[in-house]
Amino acid sequence: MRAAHRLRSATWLLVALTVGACAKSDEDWRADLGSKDPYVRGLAAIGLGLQSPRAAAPALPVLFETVDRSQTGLEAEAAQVIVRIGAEHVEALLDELITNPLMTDQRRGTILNALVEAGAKAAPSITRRLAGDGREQAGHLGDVLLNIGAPAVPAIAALLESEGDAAPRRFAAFLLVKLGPQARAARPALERALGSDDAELRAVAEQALRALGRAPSRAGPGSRGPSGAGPR
Amino acid sequence: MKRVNEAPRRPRLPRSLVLAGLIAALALGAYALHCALLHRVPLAFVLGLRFHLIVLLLVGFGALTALAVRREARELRAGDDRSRASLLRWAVTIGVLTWLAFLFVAQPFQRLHFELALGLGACAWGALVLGVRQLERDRPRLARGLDLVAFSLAIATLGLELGLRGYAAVRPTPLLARVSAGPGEVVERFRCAPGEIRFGFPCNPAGFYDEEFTPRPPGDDRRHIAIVGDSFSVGAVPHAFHYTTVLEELLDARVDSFGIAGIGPAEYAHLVATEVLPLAPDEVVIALFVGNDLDVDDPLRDQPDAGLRRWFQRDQVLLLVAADRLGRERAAARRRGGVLEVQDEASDARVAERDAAARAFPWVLDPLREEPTLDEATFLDLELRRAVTLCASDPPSLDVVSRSLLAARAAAGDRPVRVLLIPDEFQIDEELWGAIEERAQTPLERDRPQRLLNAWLAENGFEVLDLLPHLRAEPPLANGRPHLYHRADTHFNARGNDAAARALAEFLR
Repeated sequence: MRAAHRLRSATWLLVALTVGACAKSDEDWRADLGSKDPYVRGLAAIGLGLQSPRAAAPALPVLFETVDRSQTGLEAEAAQVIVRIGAEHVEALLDELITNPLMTDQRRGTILNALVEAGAKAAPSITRRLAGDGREQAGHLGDVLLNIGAPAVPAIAALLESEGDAAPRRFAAFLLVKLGPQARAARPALERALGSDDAELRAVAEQALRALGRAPSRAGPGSRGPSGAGPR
Repeated sequence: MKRVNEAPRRPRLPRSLVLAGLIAALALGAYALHCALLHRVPLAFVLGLRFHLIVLLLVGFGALTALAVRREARELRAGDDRSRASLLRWAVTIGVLTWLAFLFVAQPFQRLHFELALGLGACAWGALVLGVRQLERDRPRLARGLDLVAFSLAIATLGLELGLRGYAAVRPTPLLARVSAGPGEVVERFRCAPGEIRFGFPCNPAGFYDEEFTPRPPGDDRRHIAIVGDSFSVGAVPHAFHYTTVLEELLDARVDSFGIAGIGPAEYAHLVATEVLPLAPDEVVIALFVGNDLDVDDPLRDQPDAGLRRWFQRDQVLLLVAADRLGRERAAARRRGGVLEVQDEASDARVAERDAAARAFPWVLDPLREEPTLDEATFLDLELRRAVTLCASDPPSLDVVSRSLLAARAAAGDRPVRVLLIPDEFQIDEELWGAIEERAQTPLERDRPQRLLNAWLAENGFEVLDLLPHLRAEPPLANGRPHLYHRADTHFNARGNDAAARALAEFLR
């Protein structure tokens, strides 16, 4: 009788220990990120990413590595987690995209998907990079903005109206052409661009306005009059 | 004084052994459940419904095992001395079944998966103990029959695997060659898609940038050479200008090019064992590109549990390896369907292919018209990194490359395995080297990779062709540069391919 009681107690103790000690904390996951075993590292990065997306910055390099590594069997899941948490780590994603031109196609595709998923939250950072250190990746970043669609338009319009180099502004106008009617919110910026000194920018802005659905009726407030930019 | 009427006592050991085993099974199940719950956030994401099923099974089997422990303890106390040998046999059977199930559904091997499987298997046995005891009471004949059949099959499976391992150790054959696990997946991931068009030429059904690899037709006594390599063996030129195609003409031999971009030495050994040797070539050439084949990571080096992997990783278990290879060979034979190439028309077709490619890609014949693949800054950065890795004070690791070459040679048996060393562009182009030296901020020994590799290869009896002196001897173009590599690309252009083919033909003659 006493033995049966002892056995029951031991079983309950075991159950309590098993259940009580469950679920790792963020700190535990962070410690596992340094494991020698790539599977443990990958699982920890996924765990941290899912559990605390905002605190998952240290997991990003491991997630990138896991996307590339074919031996862990976690490639697809790591990519999904990057896409899920991308909105919280837009700058880190852009840093990776811009500073690592030799990354694998899988890693690049994952980062681009994550930026698209981040949507309007990513657009201002992307347009800022387009005017700065991200010009080499303009093709990819432009695709991201096009895939974000209408929510990216305010950021693209801001780029169009930015000071300085004409190339990013032309690129912004080109993106608005591609967005067509989705770029409705950029009409005022486009109309102001018709008054730009840059003939190429004026031409693209005109094209964008046409793509919005109707031809531009008059030059924007910045128009320089007949000798300059306005539509003829 | 001896009591004559006393029944012979059964040995007590197996009875307590079963109880001890059940307690251990319960502990393993509890540990597995603990691990599963500890990792439940990522595991539920990765495994989906399977995770919940695993937890349910662990809880269910664990509860039944706890009941079995209780009943066994009670029966032991009550003096039940029935034989428990069948329960121990079932432990072996369940062990083998768990092993096989793990090999089929829980790959690639990971320690966490192993711990979960161990707990599940142990508790499944614990649960089975209850059922078996009941069956032995109700249907003793059936219980005995099941026990013997299942146990015999389990032992036969285990024995067959052990026998194959013993045979492979004594008489290595390509069929039973084991290569490390990661490369198989890398190869599948990077292989070209069958039919994928590169410079107007379709990759063959096996995913290589070459004509279809067929078995040697009867009466064809041409020499058959297989060349294994990375992106250099895929090439950055039209097929007719690739060094293996040019070599084929120079030697009047059949040269199969097993090139997959992005792979390294471990994958070369894997390809030799799994795809090259089944075609029975006369010899194998492994093309090592010193730029990125030396200081490579071993895909399994930073993965622990090497001993467990040899038993619980699918491509380490010879039963499955041999079955897989035999199946592939049979499928390839079916696919080929006995259709053999007509060789007489090959050379005319080659000339036409070359002319058409030269018309479509004029830069092939004039390197000065090449467009850069990478932007100049990225290219220089890449070459600088390679140079510092290979030529600065820390010698590059030959660990993976040496093990892989030895593994390929062991798998090839009597067939010669030769090595082709392809230099990096910075070792050939003086202007590029100057730019690298200027930026490196550390002394560099330009030819160190070849010095180290040639020494190791000679020491281990490999025949090797080092292309370095041959390419350096090529006359420069009008602008004073060698132009043997495509502009800002790191791979041979047509000129480099031609020079490599001529040197290789000389070497193989």
